[in-house]
Amino acid sequence: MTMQTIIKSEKRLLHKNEELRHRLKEAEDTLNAIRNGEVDSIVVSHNGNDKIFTLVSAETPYRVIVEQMNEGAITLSAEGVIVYCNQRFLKLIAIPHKKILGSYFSDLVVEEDKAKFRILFQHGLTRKIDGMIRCITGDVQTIYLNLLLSPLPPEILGDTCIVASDISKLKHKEEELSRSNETLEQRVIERTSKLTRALEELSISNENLIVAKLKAEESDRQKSAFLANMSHEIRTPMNAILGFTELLKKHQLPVERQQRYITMIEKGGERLLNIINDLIDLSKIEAGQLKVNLESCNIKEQVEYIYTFFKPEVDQKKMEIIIHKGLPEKDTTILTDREKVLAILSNLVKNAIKYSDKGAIEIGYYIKRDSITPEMIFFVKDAGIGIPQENLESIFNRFEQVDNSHVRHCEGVGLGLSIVKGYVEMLGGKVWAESEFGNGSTFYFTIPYNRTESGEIKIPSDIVSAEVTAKIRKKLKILIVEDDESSAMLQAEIVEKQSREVMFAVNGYMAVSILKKNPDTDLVLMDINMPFMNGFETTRQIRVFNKDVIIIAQSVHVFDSDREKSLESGCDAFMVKPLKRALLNEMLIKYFSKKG
Amino acid sequence: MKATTLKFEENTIESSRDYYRLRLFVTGSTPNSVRAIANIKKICEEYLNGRYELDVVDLYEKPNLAKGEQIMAAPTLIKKHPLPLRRVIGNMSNTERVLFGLDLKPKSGI
Repeated sequence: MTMQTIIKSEKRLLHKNEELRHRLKEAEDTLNAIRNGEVDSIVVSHNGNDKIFTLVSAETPYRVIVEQMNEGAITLSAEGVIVYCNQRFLKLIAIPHKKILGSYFSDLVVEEDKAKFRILFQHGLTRKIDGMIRCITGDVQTIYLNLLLSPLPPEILGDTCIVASDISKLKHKEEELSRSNETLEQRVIERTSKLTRALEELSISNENLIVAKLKAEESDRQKSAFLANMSHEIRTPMNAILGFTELLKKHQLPVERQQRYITMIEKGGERLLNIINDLIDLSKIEAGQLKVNLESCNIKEQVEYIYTFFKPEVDQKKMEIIIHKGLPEKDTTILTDREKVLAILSNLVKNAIKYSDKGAIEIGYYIKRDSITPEMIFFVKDAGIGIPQENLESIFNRFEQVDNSHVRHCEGVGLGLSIVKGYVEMLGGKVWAESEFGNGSTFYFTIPYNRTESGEIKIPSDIVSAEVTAKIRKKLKILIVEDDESSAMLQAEIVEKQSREVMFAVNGYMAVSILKKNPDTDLVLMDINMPFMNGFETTRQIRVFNKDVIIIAQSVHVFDSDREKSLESGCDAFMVKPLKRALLNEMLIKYFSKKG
Repeated sequence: MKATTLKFEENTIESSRDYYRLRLFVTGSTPNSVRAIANIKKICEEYLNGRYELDVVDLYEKPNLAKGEQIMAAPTLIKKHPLPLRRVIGNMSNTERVLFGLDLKPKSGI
């Protein structure tokens, strides 16, 4: 062995030594690295096959992620059995861990979605796929899950894994939205139909407005017709009054003719007064100022009174008037407003006389018992000109009179029947007419039949007593307080026979002064409507120093308030102007016969 | 002719003793694998700038590549060139040991 060979072999040994040391260091490093946890997996050769074992520590982050994530994570075996699931899925499905492991995932799926899930699962064994299914939870809620299935590599627990997202909230929102969409649609439909209805209502109310307008025009027309008619009706008696007065003034006439003229003037005046009274009655009815004064009233007597009252007029027209008594006398006393029943009857009879020239006027009454509350029915029948069918209702309207242009020429302004209607309705009854044009008419009205036992009835008295003078104690000293001269003259004329002295005052101050000077005055006729100091105030001042003198207030106003006020201020009685001799006489008897 | 020259030059560089061919075996994105990739990249940039080639192999994806390389664990770095073949195991956080494995000297004073 040469030196060179020795050196060479030594070198080789050194090199080998070096290499071995290196390998040793490597092995040591490997062990250290494993010990220090710097290694994640170990490769093991087994039967010529390398198997990689990942260390638990290396998987920790994934496990943490999988357990913490907000999605459910499940792995299924090839048979569809759940072999693993995370906490989140347990929470979602609300079934305990022990129970869910080993069960079939398809058991959780709702019946309708099972087929869909089977398809998803079959695909999920070999490739990624996703789809939505519904599951039933442990507390029997239906939840919507979006599933993402992916196949797992072999050698791992399970064959497919599922990531399940709960989209129930989204789904519910979606359903809510679609529901609210539906309700919105519904509301739109409802609103539309409401609008349509409103439109229809509008068009109806429009029609009503047109009808109302026509009615207003009609009532306007009636008013104008009424005014024209009225002015004619007032003018006629006025012409008579003025004309005959003129005649009386200018010519020296025989007494007989004078008397005739005076009668004509009187009649004209009465007619005017009637018109005005009717107007006042009607306006009171319409203003609701009239009261119903119920009292015991014998119907039979009222009808007889009407009979007696109109008999002369009927006789004059060579006609007849007949009463039909439909009740035994003991049943004819009822509780009602006597004055109004009389007014109704007299208006109807007046009309019957006015509109007929022949035959009989029949007045009657009977009881209708078939209704719940028994009613008394009155009728007034005539054989006159009758009323056309189409006017049977409108004749009761204010201002309405059957067109008179070629049928009749009768006085009247068409107020009578509307007064009748107003009174009947106030008494709680109704009024109607039956007629055949040209063959007479029958007017009916009803009032409630409230029977009373008392038969004591005041007989209406508008009778002129010729014996007044005899009945009162003495001739009276009278003061007439009146600012209108003609009115004062008329009053003086009326009381002339009962007076020993008549004084005049044209205002309240004068009246007070005269009375102070004449304490022996018996009667004051006090006008209410005077300038400066009215009748109420004057009376009050008189009463301060004279409590005995009889004061009768007079007013053209027929309102109850005037009556009340005058009595309050100290008057003894109240009368409506113009003064009626008969009524005044009654008063005089009342106040001055007692004293004597 | 130019292409031939370039190829020649490449071959020269790659086969020169200064050129390093490295292979890092990892298992997916396990913590030490991720760390190892980051560490070795940093070391290579610092010590072998421009003269190295790093090949990262995921054993999960290509388990068969472990065969014949005598891989025992992951991560493992293998210096395939220049010879001799060397292995470094772990997450490559110990730079000194890595440099020793690569037959490189640490930069002194740093």
